[in-house]
Amino acid sequence: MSTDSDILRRAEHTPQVFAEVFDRHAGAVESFLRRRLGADAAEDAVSETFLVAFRRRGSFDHAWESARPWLLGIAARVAAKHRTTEAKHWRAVEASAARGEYSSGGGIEEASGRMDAAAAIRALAPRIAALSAKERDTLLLYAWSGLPPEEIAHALNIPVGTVWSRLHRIRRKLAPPGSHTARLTWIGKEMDDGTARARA
Amino acid sequence: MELLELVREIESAPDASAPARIGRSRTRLVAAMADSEKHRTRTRWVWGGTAAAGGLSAAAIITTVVIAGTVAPVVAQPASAAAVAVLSEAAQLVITGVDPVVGPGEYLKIRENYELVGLWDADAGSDPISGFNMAMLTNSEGAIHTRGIRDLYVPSDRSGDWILDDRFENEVLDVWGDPQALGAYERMVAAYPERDADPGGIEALPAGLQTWSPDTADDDAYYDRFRDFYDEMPRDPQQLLGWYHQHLMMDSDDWIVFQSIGRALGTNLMPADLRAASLRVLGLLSGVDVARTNGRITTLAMTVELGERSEFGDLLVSELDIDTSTGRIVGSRESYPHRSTSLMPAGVPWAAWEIEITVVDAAPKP
Repeated sequence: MSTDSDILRRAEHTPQVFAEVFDRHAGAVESFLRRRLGADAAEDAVSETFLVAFRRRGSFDHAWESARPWLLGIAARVAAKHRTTEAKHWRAVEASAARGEYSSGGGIEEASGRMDAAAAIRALAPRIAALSAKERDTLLLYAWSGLPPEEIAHALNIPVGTVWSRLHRIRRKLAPPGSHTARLTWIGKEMDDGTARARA
Repeated sequence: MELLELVREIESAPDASAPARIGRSRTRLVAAMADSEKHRTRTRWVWGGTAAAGGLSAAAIITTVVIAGTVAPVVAQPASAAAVAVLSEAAQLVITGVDPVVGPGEYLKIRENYELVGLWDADAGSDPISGFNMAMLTNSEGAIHTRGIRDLYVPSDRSGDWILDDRFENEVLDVWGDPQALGAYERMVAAYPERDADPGGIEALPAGLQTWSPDTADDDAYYDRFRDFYDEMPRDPQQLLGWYHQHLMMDSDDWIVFQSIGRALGTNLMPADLRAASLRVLGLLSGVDVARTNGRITTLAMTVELGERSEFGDLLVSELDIDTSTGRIVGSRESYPHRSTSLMPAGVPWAAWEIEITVVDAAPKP
């Protein structure tokens, strides 16, 4: 099976094959943008992301086999151009959580758990919205897209050490008052679990 | 519940309408990819470039990028002493000579006479253009050899409108392989007139800036592509070579530098000192030699061995014709002497341009 890098090399002289890259990663990119901007804005943002990627396919760093971090990095930059839309969306997330209109992706099964989660998300959404765009990029690529810090660094074109320092800063910013040590060790736990071992 | 889990839960419910949105985005992407092929064609036209012209560009486009993308050229020997001597004399002539004088209200008319070979794949698809867009040597049943003309009118005040006249109908010189290629070509240019004789193919370029669509503003470019950099481009040949490498993003593929300089100098729009320095840069490139002399025209050839065999064979030969009485580049050619095809006779260049420059009183109106 061809790697994304192989396909992108071919796409330099046979542009049509770029559609294979779309087919592989459109779901992940759409999910990232939909969750960030809302469904209405996501469609245009997905199109823009892949159009930018298509035009810049010649600049892909072939040291990487997967195009996903690169595409998500472009998606993050596209999302940054829709700040107003994103801000509205975060307010909508908060409002729907406040109304109890919270639907889980499957991680929370029990009704009581969903209610707790809705309350927690209602509190969390404005804090995420208040992060800087760079911090939000880092957090959401980590939490939503599952990229390890090395791939986030590649996606955002920053040193991996910066990813770690941002994650540390985000952890402090998102921490509910009074809960620093007990509840805000999630990044550390993730690393302990092996999700992100390669600390720079 | 851990904080990260909460973040992950946000908006994580499956969205049943996502596949439809993705499908529409895919449709847009595919359309944009098709458009990009057209833009690429016209862009190459602008520079009189490798791929271009008339509707027969697809195969040449593929040629260019196959080599740029997947085949590593092998560095050959340095430019020959004979080539360096020709280039040095040409550079001197450019400095000491006199460019055509364009008086107020007059235009510098730059005419490109070109010949191109386009491949035709009979099985490529039902769209009239697909047989020419998708063809490669390995799957082509026919080939069309055409000749065309394109004129650029540069006003004496270059901040005015430049006129690009692309309305001339191409002449079919040869049809090789399946004779049905000719009918396919005629259907293609009927459906896509911009690929040949476009009745609307005359346009004004404000100050020489060519645009295609508001959606592709990033692709807007000056016809004389290096104009924005004339002041910063070094006049020392070695430094200028480094500048070209950096600007063209090519550290080792000097054939691209060779062709790019050839196209840029062909229009004669650069400042004279920069033209002279660029001619001297050609003398720094590996594999450049004097191919032949015909009267006052000396042809320099740059032969690049392709490190990996392809359907275009193992050699790319780029040629530039220099008028040794003026130092001007008046023609260019691109050939693949060992290409793997029996469709067309050996020795026919894949693409060739001759450039004539005159001063005229007026330009046609778009």
